[in-house]
Amino acid sequence: MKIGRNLIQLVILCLLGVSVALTLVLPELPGIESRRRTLEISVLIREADTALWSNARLGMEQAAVDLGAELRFLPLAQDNDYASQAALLQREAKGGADAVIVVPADPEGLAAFLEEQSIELPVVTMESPMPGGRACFTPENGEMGRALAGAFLEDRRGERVLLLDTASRSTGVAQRLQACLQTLREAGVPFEVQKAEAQSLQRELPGLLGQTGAGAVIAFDYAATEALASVAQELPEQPLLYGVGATGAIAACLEKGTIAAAAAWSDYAAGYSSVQEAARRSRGERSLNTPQLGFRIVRGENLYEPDNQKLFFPVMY
Amino acid sequence: MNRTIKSCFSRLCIKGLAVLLLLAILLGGCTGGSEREESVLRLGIAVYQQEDTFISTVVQHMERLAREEELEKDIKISLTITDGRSNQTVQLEQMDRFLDQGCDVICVNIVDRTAAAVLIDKAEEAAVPLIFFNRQPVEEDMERWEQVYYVGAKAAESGRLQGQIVRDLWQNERGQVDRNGNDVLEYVMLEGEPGHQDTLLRTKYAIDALTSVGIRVRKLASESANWNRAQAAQKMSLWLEEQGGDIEAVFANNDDMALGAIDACLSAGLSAESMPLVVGVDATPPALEAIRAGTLKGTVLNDSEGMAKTMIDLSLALSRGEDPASAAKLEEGHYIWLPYRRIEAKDLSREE
Amino acid sequence: MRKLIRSLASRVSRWYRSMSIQMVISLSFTAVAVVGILFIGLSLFWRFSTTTNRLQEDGSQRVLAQVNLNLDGYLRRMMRISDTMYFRVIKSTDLERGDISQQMNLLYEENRDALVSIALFGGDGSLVSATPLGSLKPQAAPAQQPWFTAATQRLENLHFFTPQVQNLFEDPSYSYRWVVSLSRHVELTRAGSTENGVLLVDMSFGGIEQICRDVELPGGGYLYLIDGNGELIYHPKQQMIYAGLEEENNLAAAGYRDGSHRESFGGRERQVTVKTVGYTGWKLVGVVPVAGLASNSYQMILFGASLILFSVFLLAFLNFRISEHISKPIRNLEQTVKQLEAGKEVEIEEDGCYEVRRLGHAIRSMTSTMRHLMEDIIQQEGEKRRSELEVLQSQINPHFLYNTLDSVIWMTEAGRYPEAIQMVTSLARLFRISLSRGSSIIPLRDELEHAGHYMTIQKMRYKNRFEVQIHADADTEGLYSLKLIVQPILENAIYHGMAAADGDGLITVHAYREEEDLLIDVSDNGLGMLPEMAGQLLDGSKPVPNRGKGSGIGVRNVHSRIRLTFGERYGLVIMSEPDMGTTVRIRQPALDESAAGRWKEAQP
Repeated sequence: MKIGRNLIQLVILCLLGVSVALTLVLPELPGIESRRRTLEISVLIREADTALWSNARLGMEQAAVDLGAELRFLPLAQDNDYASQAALLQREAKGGADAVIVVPADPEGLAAFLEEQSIELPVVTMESPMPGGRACFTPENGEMGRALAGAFLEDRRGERVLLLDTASRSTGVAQRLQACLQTLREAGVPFEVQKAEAQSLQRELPGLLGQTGAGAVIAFDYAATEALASVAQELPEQPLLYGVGATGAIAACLEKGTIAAAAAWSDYAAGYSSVQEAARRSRGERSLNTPQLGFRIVRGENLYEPDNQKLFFPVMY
Repeated sequence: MNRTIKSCFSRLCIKGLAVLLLLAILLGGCTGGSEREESVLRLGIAVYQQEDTFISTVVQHMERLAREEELEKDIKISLTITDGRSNQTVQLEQMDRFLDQGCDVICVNIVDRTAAAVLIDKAEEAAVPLIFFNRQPVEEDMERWEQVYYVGAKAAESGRLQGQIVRDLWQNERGQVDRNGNDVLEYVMLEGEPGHQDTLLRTKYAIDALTSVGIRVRKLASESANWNRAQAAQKMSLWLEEQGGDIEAVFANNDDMALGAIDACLSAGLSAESMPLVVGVDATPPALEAIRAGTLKGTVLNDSEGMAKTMIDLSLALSRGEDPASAAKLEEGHYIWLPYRRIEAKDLSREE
Repeated sequence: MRKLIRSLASRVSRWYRSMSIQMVISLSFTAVAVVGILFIGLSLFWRFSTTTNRLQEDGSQRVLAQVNLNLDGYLRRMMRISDTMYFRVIKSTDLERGDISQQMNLLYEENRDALVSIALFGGDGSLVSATPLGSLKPQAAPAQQPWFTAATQRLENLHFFTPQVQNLFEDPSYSYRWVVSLSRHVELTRAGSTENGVLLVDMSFGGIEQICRDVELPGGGYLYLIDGNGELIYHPKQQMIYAGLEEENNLAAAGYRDGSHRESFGGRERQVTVKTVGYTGWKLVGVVPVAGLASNSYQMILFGASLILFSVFLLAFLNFRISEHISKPIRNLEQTVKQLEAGKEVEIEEDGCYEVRRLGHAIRSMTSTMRHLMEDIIQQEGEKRRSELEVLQSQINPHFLYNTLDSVIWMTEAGRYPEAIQMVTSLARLFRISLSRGSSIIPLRDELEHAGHYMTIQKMRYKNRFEVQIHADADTEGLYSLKLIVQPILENAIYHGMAAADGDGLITVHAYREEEDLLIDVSDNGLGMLPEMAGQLLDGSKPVPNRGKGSGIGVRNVHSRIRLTFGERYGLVIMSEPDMGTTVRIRQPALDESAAGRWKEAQP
């Protein structure tokens, strides 16, 4: 019995000694290393022009560097082609992406698609929230719509306003439109809602303006706003233009005065936060409690205020 | 008692050794595990300045082509694009990051062409092939390692083609071009970045194309506008103030500067007909617009799409370990030249 | 509270008493060792962490100093450009006649990597000359800009401003640049008269960002730059802070003096090092999280915990073994003693350390002493039994009885009745006292009476050949004596001392007290004996010298009885010389009734 007890004690001693040795070499072991493996995150936008999301992309790339991830930035061939977006997402999921950030062309449809195909990937959205408990990084869309309406009402000198519906299935954009619409209706202002394609907007806008007799246009997504910005110079009557976004082109137009006001927010921060969230979800860590992004209405005269400067010109170069 | 201790120790030692041995084997095995799966082509692209219109076109083409290749060949291509912001130190750091990430091939649009040696050495150490594009490093540096390539167009050729456009116009529409009728072409030259190879060669060969056929030329002014439209406009305004109607032709080393010159002319009140003959190089979309509008008389197409395609193909071949010559036509083992093409108004109808 | 401590203490002491010595040693050694280890470990750890902290502080300060140097160099370069522009170009040119744009251009081109623009304004805000771009934006109002007003108000200084996006020049491509403006008041010369003006040098912020970016502080911290009021100039997480998604303690940092500080922000402790950049009032702030030591500590904690467990266990194990080894001889000793108690005969080992060996040795000698003492006692008891037996025997001496009865017979036959009656009476009395109801200590009176009766009989038998005197001193009143001690002496005296006496023999018995002793001297004036013979008579180890017939017990018996009963001090002393007579001194303790009673009880 004494021998037995001795043996047990020896065994325990050896075990403890081994555990000491183990903890010394712990970081070298493969198990630990996999925690810092580079994640592959795919970013799907719903337009063909990646330049629209350049600020967000900057934020995403910075986050990728900080958090050890690799980004794939994937535009669509055709604006708002929700079928191909779904197919693209499926391909990415199969291709081994760890997480996907998507600006959904059709959030409801995409959520249903993911369910159907039992795609388990962590999905984070921008612009429109997607059902299914997924994180979304965007300012409050309803607020934004109301604010845009408010900006127009301030400037209004009796014009009719044209609301451009360029992304009908995108719930985020639709929310903005609806909120704006509601505010205008309550104010008793005449308005028109027209469906349009951002890509062809440049050509169609004069026609639309003539058709509706509108003296002001409000756009609710990036592509439409960019189109407005590019066509604004040539319009003879210089209608009041309103849009969303904080790119350099919009800044230039605000300065020139061709765009009266824009709803701007830090896309950089949205991009950064979305990559952060995607990384945390795919690593199984807890989500951070990021506060809702705020936005503000910026006009030409306050473009160069310090806060707005930081918004519109994020890269300090 | 001492015997017990001794026997304890010996048993402890044996057990400890066994465990350590096991650990060593594990460790050896797992260092291999830190490499990632293969079937992804990781491409690092470091551009000198993303604002540069031509460069951004090339990058856009590359992204598009990469997507197409993915679909076609069912592989994954991952592009990482960084902006050097005209700072060689920044670009160096970006290259370091690419190497850390484990890029398979790195494409560099070098900021300072005399500083290529450092980059090549780094790439050689990591055994990662390096493709320079659009801004050509010094020849000696290209020879440092076999897996260094240059994709670009011969700058001399672009200058020559530009000069030929002016030559043809001089020869065919003499009256319009030679304003003061003295049979001498008075021109101003808007140069690119000082020290840039394209600057030197285009400047030289554009004029050579004229003088070699015996046309007499007189340089009224020549200054660097750093590839920049606004700066070119500034310089042009100054010249218009000083020289006014004397200027018959404006040679610009690139389209941005040509457009700047046009801006200056327009704001000085000159129309498309009354302004001097402006030619540029690059054939960027705004330049093509200007040709359609008649303000820009001609440009030289720098095949951005071709450059993008060549780089993608070459990268794929290199990453698979194939002979690069199979993907593109190599000259002197390192250079892949893309041909320039002159674009004038008459070519545009074909372009559409 | 005290009660608790006391109850605890009593519990501990009870527990302690119930534990074996091995357990006590091993537990206490382990406890002491663990405490020692903890103490050393903690103090080392504390020392280590203070040293590491200090090293980190130093390291941070050094890094900051270096960055400051770079930043300073950059800013000075700008200042030199401004100086050169002013002192070499503007001062020496009359704007009416000359043109500064060439030189301005040259200066710009040379510093193109760090500059964005150089511009000269008149006192009213109109643009005099600028490079590289030359036309102002329509909405730009230089005279209202802070850099303009500051320059015109404070003439002698160079003024630095926090980074802004440049909003001055018309740029068709609408590219924006972040610039740090450096303005100063200048004197323009126009047509011989001097005017006020402002020289503005805009340097590229990218250069500053370059200097501050990717700076690694020891301990995994980061660096940011603030102006004199605490507004962020550069921060690695700038965009996130502007969007309100993250926070930084920059406003507080503006109030810190140069050097290292500790602060708590966002629930974390950090070490903050501040360095002021000269001339501009900007501050470089380095932040190192203090938990930097413990952050990769997941492994450290595991390692520490397992190390502690391992070492404690190892200590306990070794202590256990060692204490076992030490306490083994003690345990063996305990076992041996247990066996001894049970009465078994065991061999005691002397083993172990000094005290244990001493104990073993002592126990061994004690047991042997005990054994010897027991043997002695047994022997003594045996002797006592024997002499008791002898006494018992002598209580009824057959020879004496026969002789006396014979004497009575011939006296009766001879008709000498009164003598016969006296002899029988004396005989009866003698035997009665001899028996004395079994007690061995009787009153001295009785003993002397016994002797008297004996002498009466002997006188008659010996036809009054000798005389007897028995006398007891007054201070012997009430004392007790051992019985049958005088008579054997008298018997001896008669047979050996009176052998040659012829009517003039005298035997005296004198009892007297000498302090605490009762002395009885029996003297005769007989032949005496040689002193050696006297000694031999009493010596128990020598055979009884044959001196003819005796009554049986003899002097030796008396001597040994007295000694056995009372001790070695008491007994007989024979004083004799040949032809000088003999005195036998009997010494006993002076016992009164109560003392005698005690002695009787003590006898088994």
